[in-house]
Amino acid sequence: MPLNLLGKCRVNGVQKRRVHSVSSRNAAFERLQCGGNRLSRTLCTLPSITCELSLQLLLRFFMQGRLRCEIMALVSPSMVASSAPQPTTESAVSGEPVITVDNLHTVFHTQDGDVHAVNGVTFSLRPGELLGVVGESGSGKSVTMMSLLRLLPMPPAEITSGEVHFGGQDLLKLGTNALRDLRGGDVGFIFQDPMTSLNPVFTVGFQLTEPLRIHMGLSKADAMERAVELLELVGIPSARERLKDFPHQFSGGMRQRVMIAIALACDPKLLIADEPTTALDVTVQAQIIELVKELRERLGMAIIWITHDLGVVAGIADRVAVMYGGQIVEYAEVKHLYDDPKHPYTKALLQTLPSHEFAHGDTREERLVSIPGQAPNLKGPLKACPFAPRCEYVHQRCLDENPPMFDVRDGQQSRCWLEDQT
Amino acid sequence: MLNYTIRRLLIAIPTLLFISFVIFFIVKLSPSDPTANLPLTIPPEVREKIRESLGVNQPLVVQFYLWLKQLMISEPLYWSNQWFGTNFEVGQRIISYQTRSPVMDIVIQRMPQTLIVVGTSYIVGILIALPIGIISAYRQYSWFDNAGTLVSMIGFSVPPFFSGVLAIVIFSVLLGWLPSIYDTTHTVTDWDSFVVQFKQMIMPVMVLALQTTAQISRFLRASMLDNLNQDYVRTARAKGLKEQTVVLVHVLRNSLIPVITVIALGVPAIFGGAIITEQVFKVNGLGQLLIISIQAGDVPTVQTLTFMFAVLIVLFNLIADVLYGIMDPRIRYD
Ligand SMILES: Nc1ncnc2c1ncn2[C@@H]1O[C@H](COP(=O)(O)OP(=O)(O)OP(=O)(O)O)[C@@H](O)[C@H]1O
Ligand code: SF4
Ligand SMILES: [Mg+2]
Repeated sequence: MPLNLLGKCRVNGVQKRRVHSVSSRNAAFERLQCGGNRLSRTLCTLPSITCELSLQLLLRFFMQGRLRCEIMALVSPSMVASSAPQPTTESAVSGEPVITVDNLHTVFHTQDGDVHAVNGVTFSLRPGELLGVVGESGSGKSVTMMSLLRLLPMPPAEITSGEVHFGGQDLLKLGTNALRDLRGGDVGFIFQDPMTSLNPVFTVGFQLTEPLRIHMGLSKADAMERAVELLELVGIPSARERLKDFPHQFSGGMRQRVMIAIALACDPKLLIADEPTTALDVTVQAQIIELVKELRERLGMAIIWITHDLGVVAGIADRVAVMYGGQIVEYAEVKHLYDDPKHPYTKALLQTLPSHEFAHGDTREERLVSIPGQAPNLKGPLKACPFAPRCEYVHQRCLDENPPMFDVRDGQQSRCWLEDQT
Repeated sequence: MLNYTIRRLLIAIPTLLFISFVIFFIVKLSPSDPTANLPLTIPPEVREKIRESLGVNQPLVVQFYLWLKQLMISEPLYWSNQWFGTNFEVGQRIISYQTRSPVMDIVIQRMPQTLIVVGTSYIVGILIALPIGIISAYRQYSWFDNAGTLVSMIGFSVPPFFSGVLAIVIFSVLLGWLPSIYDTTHTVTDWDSFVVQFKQMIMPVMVLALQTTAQISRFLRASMLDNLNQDYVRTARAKGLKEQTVVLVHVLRNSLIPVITVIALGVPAIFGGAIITEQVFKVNGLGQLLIISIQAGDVPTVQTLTFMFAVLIVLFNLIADVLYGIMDPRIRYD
């Protein structure tokens, strides 16, 4: 009886995720279970677990003391198939969304009144998809993404409404423990500034093994092994020795690689990268981008990539969300966005984009400040189109009412009254 | 690090020599007569003899030289004989004008009282300060933080000669719970005598601990607040760490760096004794010894005690720096 093992199995020996317990009267299984106390909780250190791994094989590993699992589920082959890795070619960007964000609103309660930083953001990502999020400073990109995992300091922040569906749960209603399991586990986060995002007094090895130990239940030694693999994965030479180094002994680009390794540690289904390259110089930036592209192909996770840089987005994203005033104002596949932008803000952005954007390393400030006018005031809920003061197509309706999202074509939406066909 | 430490120790020698020289002249500048405290019936010629025998009439430089020689040579030899059973020729030791006995003997005699009372209070103060500092920062502006602020303000602004006396009035005079005088002759032999010792220690320890707590808890709070806003804290949370781990491992470890140095720098004060508090509770420790000696114009004792404090201050400055280097991997001394 070839029973399969549910471990969200993925090849390459790179495995993750706690395996869920299912009670079973199967004698062999019980035997595995009671023996498991001596062993660590996950399957992740087993070499090359494949979906087809049979119980017999498991038992043999167990006898040899090589299996490290305590709880395991015996499932039908069809279930295993659904949790098998998604191939990651373009066509594979399909299937059930990994994450669905619906009408998210986040408010900061400050001393001079409420700041409405996120005003109804809606998007979703399928496995393997890369969503680029662009927009000028203060448009609410970081706040939106941190709201998803409730990483904002509350107070002053408050997520006033919305739903975030991930793995069949609403993250905004999830208990803190369950949420913590997702952070760094199924959802990896890379932050804006690699220079300050690592703790200066702990070694890189310590910081990298932390998520491995809490999410995958690895022992210290196993976690170290996996940490070496991860550092190699992100292209850090002599990884084993470097684990003992402190963050200040790494360059900015190397630190960002470490951050990426931390985010990838537990094989996330979703990687959120908040301007992962902004603080780096152009060549390092290009290397990191290549790295993420490659990792995405190898590991097949969905990625949200926040950036100021439309040039970067053009190179890597499947779809793009353009943010302005805490809203997504245009949402489109990358080719549509560049060939046929609809929203006046997107058009203005694209006009400011020099054609040689990578070559001369001009800073993002130069590029984005060039849309004339001021960033919108987010005190109070939006009552008009936030872009109206800077928009060359502004008309009376824009000042009376904030436009909803209009479908422009299949998969392209624009939040502008100009698109109202009725 | 070792190189650095050795270098610092070597630099400390001329520093200390200079300090002791300055102390010596300042003490000598104050007009005081070692025979002033003697009974009035003693005739002036005898007083003059006494002065002569104490060497007070010699030039200052000679006096300083003699004192230095006694401190650097006679005393180490004497203690070597005492502790290691060696058999060195010991010259003249430093003699107190007041008691005519060696200053070091008195110091050693009084050291335990000071260490027990002031040392305990320092440890107690720090132990209380740590949780207060952590919680106050983590729950900034909560009622707990506000209470902590109030207590620290009291600790900072109310001097021990007031809080000490107040405590005596309340707990000894009005309530009669605790003894007002610290009995240094009391020895702990069994449970009951331990209780007595414990009771007599409560007030002086708490009065002093209040000050330590006020200082360290504020310092830790500020340091924690600094660190709680750092990006690496967000990273730690995003890794899925428990809030406890985030605060007590990641944030606290960073916040302790400056706090540890402050704690180290505060240690000499323990030996210095809480001069006022010892006075209030009649603890005959080193602080009290210093006061009596100053009043009696007992130059050798004052000189020796201040020099010891100077040594401790220099030493703990070094220790603070070394600890900083150990705690913070970004610091490199070599
Ligand atoms: N702690 C806070 N208190 C009050 N307002 C805040 C706070 N954090 C962010 N905001 C506001 O939220 C809005 C969105 O900020 P956010 O950091 O998301 O911008 P961003 O698009 O990520 O910009 P950047 O490209 O500069 O990172 C800004 O207007 C900002 O002023
Ligand atoms: S709604 Fe009006 S103001 Fe806003 S972008 Fe469209 S045309 Fe411009
Ligand atoms: Mg940001």
